[in-house]
Amino acid sequence: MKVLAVSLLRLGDILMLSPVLKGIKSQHKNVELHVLINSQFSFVKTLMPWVDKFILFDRKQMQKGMGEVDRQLFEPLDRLSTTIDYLNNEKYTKVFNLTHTRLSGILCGLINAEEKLGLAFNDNHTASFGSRWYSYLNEQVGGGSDFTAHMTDVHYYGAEIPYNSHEFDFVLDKKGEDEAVALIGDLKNIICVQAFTSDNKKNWGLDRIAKSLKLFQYMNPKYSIFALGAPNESHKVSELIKVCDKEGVSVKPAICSLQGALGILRVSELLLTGDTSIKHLACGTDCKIIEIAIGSSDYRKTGVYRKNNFIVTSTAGCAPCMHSQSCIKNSHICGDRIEPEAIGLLMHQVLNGSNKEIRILAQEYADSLRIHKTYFNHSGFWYARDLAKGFDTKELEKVLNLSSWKLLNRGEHLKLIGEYGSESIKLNATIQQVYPELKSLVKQRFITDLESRITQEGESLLNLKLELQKLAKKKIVNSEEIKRNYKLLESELSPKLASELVVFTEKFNGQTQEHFGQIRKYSEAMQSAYDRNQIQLKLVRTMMSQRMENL
Amino acid sequence: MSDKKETNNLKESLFRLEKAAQKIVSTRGYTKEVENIKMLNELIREQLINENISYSTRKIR
Repeated sequence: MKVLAVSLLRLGDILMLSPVLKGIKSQHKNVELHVLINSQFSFVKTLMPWVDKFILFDRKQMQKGMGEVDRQLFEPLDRLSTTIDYLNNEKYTKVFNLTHTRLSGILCGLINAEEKLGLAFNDNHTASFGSRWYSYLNEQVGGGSDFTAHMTDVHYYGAEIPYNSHEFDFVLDKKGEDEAVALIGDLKNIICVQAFTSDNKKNWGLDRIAKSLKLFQYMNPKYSIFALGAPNESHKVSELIKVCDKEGVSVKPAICSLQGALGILRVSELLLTGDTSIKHLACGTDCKIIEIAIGSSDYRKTGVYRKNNFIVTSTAGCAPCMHSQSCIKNSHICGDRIEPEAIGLLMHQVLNGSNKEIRILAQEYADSLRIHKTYFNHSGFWYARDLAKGFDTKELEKVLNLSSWKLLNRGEHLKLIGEYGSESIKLNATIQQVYPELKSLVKQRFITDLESRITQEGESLLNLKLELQKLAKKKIVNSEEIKRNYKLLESELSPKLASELVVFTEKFNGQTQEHFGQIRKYSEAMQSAYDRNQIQLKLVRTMMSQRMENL
Repeated sequence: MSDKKETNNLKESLFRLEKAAQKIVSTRGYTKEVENIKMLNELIREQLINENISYSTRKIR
């Protein structure tokens, strides 16, 4: 079977989704896996030699062809047609769109295949998703919902591969090994820093990094510190080293290829990084990772995808901000809030301390930053726990929400006997796994609180569902009722859909046929919200009875 | 993109491509050529990032 995975975002995204690619490859015997990537990242080939073929999408040349006056527009058009013909000649059985952009959606629509998973635009330019997880990605995650699954998880479920291995199978070649040896020799006790990200907003700042490293080096003099950088970042790395020198910290440069970086990370004990591709590369090693997720980086979607690592975020209300736009604040508040002292101490504790000590550190600095620990929880999702915060209904809601999406997308609610019992066992196990320090009775109280809230919300959702049914019957809807429940709609649909719905119901003139598409969209979203509420209610009640049995 | 001239060229290309797509749709219907042109439009929009406002684009990554 020949399958194609389309990954047309940036380097970090290709690396982050590597476990999904591996899952696709391992799912069936005799799978020939081809991956379509942007041509500027062709060097990832050596990291994933188990991919049968990387096909390069010449985005740069096409974009160049359209941005220069002396070049014909037919040139990029011709280049594009050639690429699509090439892909169609491969005769794929299955296409996975791991990109979720309009561009990739149109492209996947033009590729002939028996099955397509992920966004693809059909002949009449309507979107198809192939899996409900990709509709979830489009509507819930894209709509700005607070409850969001990690992107890798969405693709795991969307691509219908078993959620049991989270393996980053990056292969280190001889060249990379030699490069690493040339840079670090046979040194032991190494830690690495990747100070530069693709976006200024995500950079924490050289002074702050230097100060944290100073504290770390003072407490851990036996460690050698290396500053990682790509060849085009060498001047930036020199700058970092100068700043560190001023602070009296000894940092050595490690300008290398991605393969070289993999070689170095394999023998390193800790990586301090921003939201970078190096972070995802380190997931393929045993090196511990501390990620500083500031600016537009949203750790809930793209955080370090490996268990028992740490993500530091700021308490600034504006983070995470929009991608590809400059910071709108007078100063870089999210970066400013993260104190270098806290990072230096965290680095020390991650290497030497226990979970308890890291939790105390998180509580101590809770006013300015959050320290999250990563898990793969028992209910089958990546999860980052804020270590300063105890267990509460909000946290319980997070795990319950994702489980309800999983059961809804599997159509469990339509079965005569759904798998609520086993899912509830997993949920109870998740709470125990992530919050082992909490007493059982306290957990029980939160579960009881949540049960009563879900019941109330269920009644409101049912009323709203009935109200929306009026739209199809050409009746005017009570828009005040919709507005009154705006907060609920925002959390159960998505902020984007909730605001659309309010505007629509206010202006609705009884012309059902004219707005058929929109009415259908809102009705389906409301039905899905109500179904999920009912699933959550069953889950939480089953959890309660399971806990009672255990008392 | 820092070069203003190149930005203008891209916007001009975007305009021409949109016109071409409209013309094909009105004369020959929704063909594969239209899809190809739409893809090029998206390539330009991704380059002129601020125009890339739809929620099914890269902003959700």
